[in-house]
Amino acid sequence: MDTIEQTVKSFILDSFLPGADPNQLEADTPLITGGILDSLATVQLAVFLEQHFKVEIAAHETGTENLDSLALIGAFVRSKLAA
Amino acid sequence: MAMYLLEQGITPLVIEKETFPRYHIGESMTGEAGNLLRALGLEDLLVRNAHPRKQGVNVVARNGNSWWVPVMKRNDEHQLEPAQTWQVRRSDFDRDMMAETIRRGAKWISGRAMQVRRSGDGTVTGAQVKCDDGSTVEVESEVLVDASGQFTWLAHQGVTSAKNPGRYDKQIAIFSQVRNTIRGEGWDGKDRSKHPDNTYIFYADQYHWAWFIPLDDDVVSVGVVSPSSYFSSKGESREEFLRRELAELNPDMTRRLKDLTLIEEARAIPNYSYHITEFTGKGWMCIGDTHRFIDPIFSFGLYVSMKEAQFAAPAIKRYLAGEGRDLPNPFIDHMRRMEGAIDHLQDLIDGFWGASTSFAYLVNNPRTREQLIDLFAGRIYDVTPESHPAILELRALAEKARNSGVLWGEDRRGSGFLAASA
Ligand SMILES: Cc1cc2nc3c(=O)[nH]c(=O)nc-3n(C[C@H](O)[C@H](O)[C@H](O)COP(=O)(O)OP(=O)(O)OC[C@H]3O[C@@H](n4cnc5c(N)ncnc54)[C@H](O)[C@@H]3O)c2cc1C
Repeated sequence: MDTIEQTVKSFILDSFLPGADPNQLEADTPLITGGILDSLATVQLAVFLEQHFKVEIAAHETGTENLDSLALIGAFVRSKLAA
Repeated sequence: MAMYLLEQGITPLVIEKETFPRYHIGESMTGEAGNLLRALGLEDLLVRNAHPRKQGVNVVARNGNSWWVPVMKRNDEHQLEPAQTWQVRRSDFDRDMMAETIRRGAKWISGRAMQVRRSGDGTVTGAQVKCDDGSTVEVESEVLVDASGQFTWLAHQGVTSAKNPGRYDKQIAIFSQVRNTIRGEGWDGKDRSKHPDNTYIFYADQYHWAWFIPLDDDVVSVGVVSPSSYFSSKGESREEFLRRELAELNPDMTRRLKDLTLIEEARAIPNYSYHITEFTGKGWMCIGDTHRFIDPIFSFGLYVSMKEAQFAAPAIKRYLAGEGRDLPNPFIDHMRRMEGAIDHLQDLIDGFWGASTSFAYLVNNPRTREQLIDLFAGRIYDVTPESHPAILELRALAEKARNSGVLWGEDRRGSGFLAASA
């Protein structure tokens, strides 16, 4: 995993899955559609991404198309940083 | 409306078909609605009548996740600071407003406006009124303001453009009042989200939600809104439906409603959502519910009616002084401005129902939260993409929802904001 994915993974494990086995959270594990992140957690994750990576994430970008897995999140954040 | 006209030195004639006090729905006010009442010098009256002091609204999902929008005002330095507004039992509030209007000098006919009067070129010149004593009077007007609410009187008279269904017109609201509830708990004088006078919105699935609005120390207004088809499918009476829904719709609401004895008749309003795009003209204008009502979820109704009246009064004064008399629609600027503002409310409501998680992100993100608090308070008339970039973000979210088919109904928003931001 790239550092972005690693950072996000740590955030999710610490915030929403305390005590869970880190190996269970893989790059393509479905986060929202798989029920790991509920709506409040998704909001917290999106705010975290904005603040930690200093990118601006518009509300309409906070759906499953960008946030449903570590891989999607990584690609999304990278595209923001490159813009 | 009448109080704002009096402030402009115009003596209005009010025609009202109801005798007060009478039941009316629409009890929770936005922050700016409270400010309008203060500016009209009505705070003492509201305090004397002990209307609950709303600090904000808690929006609670079925899984218990919630977000909180406090009532905040902008101070002279344009900083947000805590404020409060009111929730009112409309039978008392409307009675008091009518009495105060007359005390301030408005004239009044107790009767029903029946037939509009127009001159050859279509200018509205008055109305035929059937008085409560059985007589009929012909009232002449220079400007006729339709404030008949959901009755949309001028639309029925064929004066406005067509009354089209709004996006939420396949909904039904069923409501009553209860006692013996658990209101905001743990109020310590600091955390305003726990204040016992706050409004709660509980939601279940899309378009399916309930309100909880304290009306005094004891009584709480409760209502359930759902798709009309869902209501019909249950085959229940209004009361049965309301009581079962209140018990089931959202666990936090169930917990708060310990006694489901309804102390008011269970009333219903179906198809309350509509939109009229041409609502001013020569000698006439519509304000409030008479031209557009989207959905009650965020309690904008009373505020929009009052705020539109505040804007309308000086426009009417200018018209009476001769301005725009030769124009086909002397109030067109006013009309566009009102439409553009309500478009923001359409975005708020569509954004919420179309993408509730993304909407919660906008409300809770420190980058946009203050701007959303402004919108919830009702500061929708002077916001621009420069002052409030979040309105663009909200619009993009609402557009995405509208285009993706997750919302029902057609999009008939006005064009004020779009023009302003082009
Ligand atoms: C289910 C539901 C819940 C709502 N909850 C809220 C809420 O919590 N907060 C909020 O701010 N808003 C709420 N609203 C909206 C609110 O009820 C209205 O927006 C608000 O009452 C302002 O409306 P208005 O002044 O345009 O008309 P109204 O308040 O309806 O006043 C219209 C008046 O015109 C009179 N009238 C009508 N026809 C005639 C005639 N032909 N001749 C003479 N008189 C006539 C009527 O008797 C009435 O007194 C809710 C609406 C619905 C449907």
